[in-house]
Amino acid sequence: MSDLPLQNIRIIDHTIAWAGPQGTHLLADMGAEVIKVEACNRPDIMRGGGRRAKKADKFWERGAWFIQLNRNKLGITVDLGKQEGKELYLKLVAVSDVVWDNFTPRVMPNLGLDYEELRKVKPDIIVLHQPGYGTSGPYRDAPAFGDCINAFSGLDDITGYPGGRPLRPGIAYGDPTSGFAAALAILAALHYRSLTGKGQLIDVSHFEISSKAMDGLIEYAMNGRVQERMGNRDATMAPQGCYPCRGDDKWVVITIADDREWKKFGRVLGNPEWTQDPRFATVEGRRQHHDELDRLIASYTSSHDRYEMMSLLQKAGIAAAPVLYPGELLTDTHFVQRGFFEESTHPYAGTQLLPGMLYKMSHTPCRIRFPAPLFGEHNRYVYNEILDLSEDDIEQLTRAEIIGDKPRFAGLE
Amino acid sequence: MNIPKGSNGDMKSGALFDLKVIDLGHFIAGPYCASLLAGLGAEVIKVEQPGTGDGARSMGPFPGDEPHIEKSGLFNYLNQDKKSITLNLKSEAGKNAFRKLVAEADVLIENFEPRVMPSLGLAYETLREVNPSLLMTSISNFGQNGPYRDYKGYEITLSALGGVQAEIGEPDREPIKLGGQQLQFQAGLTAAFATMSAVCYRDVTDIGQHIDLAIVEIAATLKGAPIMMYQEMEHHRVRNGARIWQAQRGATDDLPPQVYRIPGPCIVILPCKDGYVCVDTELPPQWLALCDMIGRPELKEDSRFSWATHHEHADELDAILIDYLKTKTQQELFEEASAWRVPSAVVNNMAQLFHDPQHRARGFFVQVEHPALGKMDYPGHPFIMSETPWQQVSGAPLLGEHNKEVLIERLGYSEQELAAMAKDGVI
Repeated sequence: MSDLPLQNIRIIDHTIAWAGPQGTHLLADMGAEVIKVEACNRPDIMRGGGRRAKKADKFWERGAWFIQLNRNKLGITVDLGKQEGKELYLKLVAVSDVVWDNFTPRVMPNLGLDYEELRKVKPDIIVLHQPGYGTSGPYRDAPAFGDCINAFSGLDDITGYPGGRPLRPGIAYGDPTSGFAAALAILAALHYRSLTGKGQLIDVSHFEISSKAMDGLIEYAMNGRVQERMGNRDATMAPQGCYPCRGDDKWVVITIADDREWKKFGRVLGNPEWTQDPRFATVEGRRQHHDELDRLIASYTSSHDRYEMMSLLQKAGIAAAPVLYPGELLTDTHFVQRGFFEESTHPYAGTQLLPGMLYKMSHTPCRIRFPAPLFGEHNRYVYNEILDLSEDDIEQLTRAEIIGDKPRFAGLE
Repeated sequence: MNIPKGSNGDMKSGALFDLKVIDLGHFIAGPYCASLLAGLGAEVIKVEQPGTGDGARSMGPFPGDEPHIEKSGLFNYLNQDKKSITLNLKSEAGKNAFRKLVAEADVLIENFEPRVMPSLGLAYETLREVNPSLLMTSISNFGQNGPYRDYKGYEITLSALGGVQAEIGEPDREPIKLGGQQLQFQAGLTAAFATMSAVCYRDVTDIGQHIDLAIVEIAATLKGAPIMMYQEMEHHRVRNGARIWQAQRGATDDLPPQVYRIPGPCIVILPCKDGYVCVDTELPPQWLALCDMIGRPELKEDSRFSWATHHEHADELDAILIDYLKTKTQQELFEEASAWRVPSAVVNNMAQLFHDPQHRARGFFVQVEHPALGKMDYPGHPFIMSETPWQQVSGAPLLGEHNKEVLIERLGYSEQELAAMAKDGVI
């Protein structure tokens, strides 16, 4: 049984919804002991995520997306609004490496749990805040959700058909992007601490890390040009597009990278006359007549299966792929053979396939070891075993409603 | 401790000050990964093909649209604070020099197609004989194995196969890719994190390893929610233009109000007086506040816009909202909505993003000088660290700029050997 790369790290995880849990689960996947902290009056809002009506028994244990985002983590509850809860929590901080949240910036200071306070119980603690806009600046206290970051970071503006309006990019990219960035920051800080003994405070803004991916900023800074919506077209290669295939809502994307590939493309199609048209022989010509080319290509692809198109064209060294819905990835032969999706069984939600490891490591392979925690599931493990509290202590804390295993939702008493 | 010097000659500081990285990457994913490590303080030596260098040098933007291998904006952005040497890895002499470099390095980043490194005789198994503690991070489109391993792929190809493209577009048209090169950047960021997870393990054990990243799997990870939803509901999310995907009927309307339950009635990009804004109500109290904000409190009780049925009346709601939004500017709306605690945002174009007040207040953009490009502002820190501030000081290196420094001073070649290598096209 091989090691896990981060097996000696303990992380206190206050994160909720998507952005934070996406990051903490990466570290949990790599073997860190990630302790998800909730409170009876403040369960993770994602616990209702998914489609379970409240009439279902313990709907908060059935949200499929929550289950995917919180696998490999332990779960505890503690009421940080009460003095006794805070004292209990600080005992855990004293034996942990990292404290991580994605609340709006005033929350942790309001609880009296900012970096300066936490350092008092653990001088080398690493504290990370992951709010939408960071912990400073004029937008600091604006309510931030993922679609807001899509808009501010420019992603909405550059996504759309040529001459069309900005379109929603499918998901809120700032969430997972900031989660990945936060994970990177934590590991850099842990490495630094292993060399120097020093912890530190880290501020991860979804807005900033999303903006790093906007290479259109360089064009603007250099030439003053504002990036426009291009649909499926490419700035240099032509044709590139998304073409209908046989069946309803079935498509293939094709990129012809240069003149040599254009000739090969013609051969794959059986050299129909239009592929020999001299207007299309150069990339300038193909770009000029892109609309017409798109129609001609579509007339060919629409009678073919999308996977067949990929196979035919890739054999000839041309980049082509079917447009798959996320659910279709589950049965795509490449994903299956790579073993990317992993089966995981959850006590309430049953057995599902979850996106597995984001990358493969040769000597410390990782996997989904256990499912997302039930609410307060590991109270005993953390309070008895890590903090050495007695059974009486646990009972007293439960009676005082400092800890518990049932969330209190408004309108559900 | 022997702390390496940065590309500008100063002592390196930063969280990764002791790490030595070889950047064999090209275009975006590999170089972006290495640039994140450089900004965190690692010493990064870029190994480029003699004559042409990293392919990004041939891609713009260029000042005045005139191509020049020292003036690519993309290359400059992604390769700051790195050194550059040239090595022809197809030659024996080039391979020898590379192996010497690997012997002293901590990390090697590459994003070639999987057959390339083995075909050069530089596969991980070979390199670890030279350096057993080496961490080699390989980023590829489809991974180091599997039926699509050797397939060709660009951003659009990965977007299609990774489940990203299917959910973007107008309902009656072909699906489109995300603007720009989002998946390439995601890959670089993921690779930096992946590399660091191996560094942290090696800090304790001295064990090196090979890391295999597939961009298409990174894309699939981003689409975790619809993948789970498909298993719950056996239904795909429908493309819905500028509005959040269309809901199936009636699934979540009786959940408690503080529980997250997209798609709510109002997550949409709409035009206003001087551009577009995004209205992003994801919890019921936010929707109710929006109704009050636009002076239409009766909408709160309007059965058309309940959580269960709103998608059937989306056009009507759009029209009501646009009526209000068109009277105000992007900035006015953002401020007003913030005061009402309604999540909203300005749809920034690249010019607005460049001047964005939040970015400028936080010093997100950094001015960097380059001998061929002069002074320009670039996106800077990916996050802020209190003890180990982000390093972004020197412009990208000229092609082979550090051949002498690395090959002679570091690796011990003589001037004559270097001259011979140049003559033979090795450097």
